[in-house]
Order: sequence, then structure tokens, then C-alpha cells
Amino acid sequence: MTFRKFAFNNIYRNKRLYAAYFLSSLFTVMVFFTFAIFAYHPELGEGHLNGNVRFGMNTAAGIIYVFSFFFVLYSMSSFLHSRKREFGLLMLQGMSMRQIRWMVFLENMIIGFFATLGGILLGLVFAKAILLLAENALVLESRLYFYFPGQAVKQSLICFLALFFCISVFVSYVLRSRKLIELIKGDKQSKGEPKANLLLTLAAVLLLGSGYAGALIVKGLGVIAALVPVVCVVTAGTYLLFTQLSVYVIRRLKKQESFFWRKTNMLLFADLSFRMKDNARTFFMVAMVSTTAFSAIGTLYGFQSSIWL
Amino acid sequence: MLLVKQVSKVYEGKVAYRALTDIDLTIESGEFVGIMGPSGSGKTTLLNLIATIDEPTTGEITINGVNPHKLKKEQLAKFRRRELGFVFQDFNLLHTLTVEENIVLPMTLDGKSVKEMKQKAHDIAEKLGITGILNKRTYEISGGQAQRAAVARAMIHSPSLLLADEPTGNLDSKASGDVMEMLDAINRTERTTMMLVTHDPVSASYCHRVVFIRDGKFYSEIHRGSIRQAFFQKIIDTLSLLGGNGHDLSQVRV
Repeated sequence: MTFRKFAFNNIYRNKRLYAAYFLSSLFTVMVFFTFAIFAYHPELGEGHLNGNVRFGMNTAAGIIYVFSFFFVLYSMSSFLHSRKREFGLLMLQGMSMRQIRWMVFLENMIIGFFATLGGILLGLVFAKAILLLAENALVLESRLYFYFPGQAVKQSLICFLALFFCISVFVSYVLRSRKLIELIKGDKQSKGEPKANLLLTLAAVLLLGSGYAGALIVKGLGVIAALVPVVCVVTAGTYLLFTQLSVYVIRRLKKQESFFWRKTNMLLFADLSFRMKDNARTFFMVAMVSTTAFSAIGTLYGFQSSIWL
Repeated sequence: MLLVKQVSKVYEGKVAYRALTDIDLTIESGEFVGIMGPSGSGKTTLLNLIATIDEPTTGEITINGVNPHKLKKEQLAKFRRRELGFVFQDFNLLHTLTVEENIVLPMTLDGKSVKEMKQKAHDIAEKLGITGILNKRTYEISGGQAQRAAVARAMIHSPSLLLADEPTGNLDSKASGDVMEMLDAINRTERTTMMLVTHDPVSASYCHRVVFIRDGKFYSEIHRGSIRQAFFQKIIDTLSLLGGNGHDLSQVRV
């Protein structure tokens, strides 16, 4: 068994563990690719767009890309976190930090490569379905016919291979060698019960409410003026929704013993409160990435039709 | 060979806790030393300090004249994979690898040739009687077999010091006997220096010398004569002196 064989076996015989990370990466690529399919759709593009709209589209693509970066980075770091004990054991057997970095880098590149390919392929397969869905969801008048999105494939491929490369380099340096005893005992430390702040919970409700209300009320050119504040308020609100509001609601439910002590409710909610805290950031990222993509498409179409009319 | 000089360990926290106080210990080359004491006496802490898993607060530990706690990270990794071997209570085999792959892991990390690794793995498996399970995965074998595989992994690179933390803690008396016989045989034939932490008097009776610690301090030590049975009796007696009778000792490791 050589070192390469060892790294390979480690992934191959541990498929389940890697699947979660792989799928979340794949999903991110798919969302970005779907957006790119729209953005480069001949019906919407081909010189019909003015400079402002092009700029808006690029900004949206940029935002999605940045959130994808953080999303992949976050799922990566939580994935590494869950493997602390394994790293501790390997170091005890004499694995050097350089070897661990190299192994993590290799794993990442392999997973990233296949996630990018898989995401694009899956996006292609469902391209027509997504286009149809968007037609109806965004109430478009013209038909979005299927086309082979060469430009979109190229862009997604380049962007995500670069992204996974950056993250692989970055993460393998983030993985500092802490004390061995912390790594080995890592999984035995409890995280403590998640708590929610009442003020922040109220803030979540207010921010989300005012954000979406603002977006609905504003008409005409006011949309452009309201765009930035609405986006900021909604982003903050969404973050608080997942980190505070959800935890707060679950805690309230747990206090209600007539509800909490019924059948399997106890197990479900006790577990859920910990899960929510762990996954809050992931949910936030997913929500942001998909919201940005779809609102950008909607905005684009809004501009498009107002210019034509 | 192993020199522990005035070592203390304080666990920082909301309430600082002194786990070890001024421990001195010398182990000669080829010696087989047991560490015993009640739960919470600091025996596992002492082993962790020597195993470079944890760092002493004060004092110095040298193995063959090298202080591993002062080595740079890369050097320390090399030191671990060449000079030290570990056996744990819960085996700590990697479940993604087969028994054979687990055994050769220290050599894999050192970049040895596949042929050499195969040869060594088969030699050592022959000695420990686990040739039949080399291609099995870790969840397909029994506790006794897993511990023998772990011993093989700890031995394959001929370390200068083998550290065992309650190696028989998860095994029944038959498997415990087998593992201890095996460690004893390795100590005799390969002249490997061994240190064993245990609270099982039967396992401890295989050692040449048993050191007792209590509340993080050195308590006493006894040497084995020629008869293991008599040594076992002496260990029981010392344990009774240490506090209550032998049965008081909790089976839970700290």
C-alpha cells in the first residue's frame, strides 16, 4: 500500500461520508449553471440588452459566485471538522502535517472536479425543465426554448474549477495542527445547548418583513433606488431567521411540555434544535444563492420587457 | 532509555486541576514497566505526555536522549513513526482499511517500498497468528484479533518504545491473556522497551516492574522476582494498601 493508494482507499471505502460534501458542492454548481443558462439564453441576450442590464447580470453572477465560494468553504470546513479524530489518529501514527495537507488537497480536487462535471451534466439534463419552470414562475410571455448552452458550460467549468482549486489550497492551510489531544478527544466535547436571543429574534421578523414589504410596495424607477437597501435588509433577515428565529421557535416548543412530551416529538425536537444550529449557515447560503439567482432572472426580465414596451 | 524528570501537568480551565506532580521515572532499554493506580490518579495523563499526545506543564521527557516536545512538527511526525508504537484500549484501527493495510500504515507514511511492507506484514502476522484475517476489514474481526492487529501495527517499524494504554481493557480474560503473552514474547525476543498502563493486576503481573501512582504523585514501585504468581500477589497487596481492596478500582479509565 503506497501513500496514494491509501488516500484513494480512504475515499473509496468511505463513500457515504464524502457523499454529503459532494452533493452540496454539486448542488451549488448546478444553481450557478442554471443561472448561466438563463443569462446566456438567446431569447434574452443577443444585443437586446443595454449596458445597465448586462451590468446587473454580471453583478448577480458575481454575488452567486461569492456565496458559492463561502458555501463550499463552509461545507468543506464542517466536513473536515467531523474528521478531527481521524486526523488525530493518523498524526499519532506519524503522519506529518504536510502529508495531511496533501491528502486533503488531493481529496478536494477529486471531489471538486467530479462535482463540477456532475453539476453541469445534471443542469443540462434538467435544462428544459428548469426553463419551463422559470417561464411559468416568472410569468414570461415569450417561450424559452431549449438550446445547447456552450457559453454557460464554459463559464461554469472555468469558474468552479478555479473555485475548487482556490478552496483546496486555502483549506489545506487553514487546517493548522492543533494539539494532538484536542484532535483525538475532539468528538467527545459537547457543544452545549443552542440559545437564541429574543432581541435578535424580533429583529429577524422585522428585517424580513420590512424587506419583503418594501420590495412589494416600491414601483417603477424606485425599484432601482430600493434595490441595495432591500437586498441588505433581506440578507441580514435571512441569516437571523436561520440562526435565531428557528432556534427560538424550537425552544419555545420544547418548553410546552404538553406538546414536547407527546410520542416522538421529544426526540424530534431535541435533535432538531442542535441540527438547526449546526446547519443554520448552510441553509442561509443555499437560500441566498438560489434567491439571488432567481431574483436576478426576474429583474432581468422586468428590465427587458420595460425596455421593449 | 526513557527519562521522565520532574514532570507536572496542570489542566487549565475554570478550575485549574493538577493531574501530575513532580513525577520521576526512568525506564532502561528492554525493560517492561507497568503503571498502576486508582482511577483519576494520572496514569493515562503520564502516558499521554510520553506519547507526545499532550505536553507537560513543567519538567522534561527524553526518549533515547531526544526531547520530543522540543522537536519541530515535521521532525516530530518522523519521530512518532520511527521511534514510537501505540496500543490503545479501543484499538484505534482505521475502519476504511483492511487489517493488513492497517498494519503497514506506519511504513506507508514513511514511504517504504511495497515489497518490503508486504514481507514485514507477513512476518509479523505469522508471529502473532493473524495471517488468516489479513484481508478482512476491521468490523469483521473480534476484539482480541483487533488488538493483535493493533499490536502488529505498533510493532512493524521496530519502534524503540512501545506504549500501551489499557490494552486489555476491552477484552475478555482469555483474549487478555493472549495479548499479554504476546507483548511479553515481543519484549523478550525483540528487546523492545515497553510501558503499560493498566488497572488489571493480571496484566500488570507480566511486567518486570510496576510503578504505582496516586493522586498524581509517585507512590511506590515493586519488582518482579522469578515467579509471576508471587508478583501478582504482591501487586494485589500494594493495591489494597493504596486504598481499600482491589475490587474498589473502578473499571472506568480516566
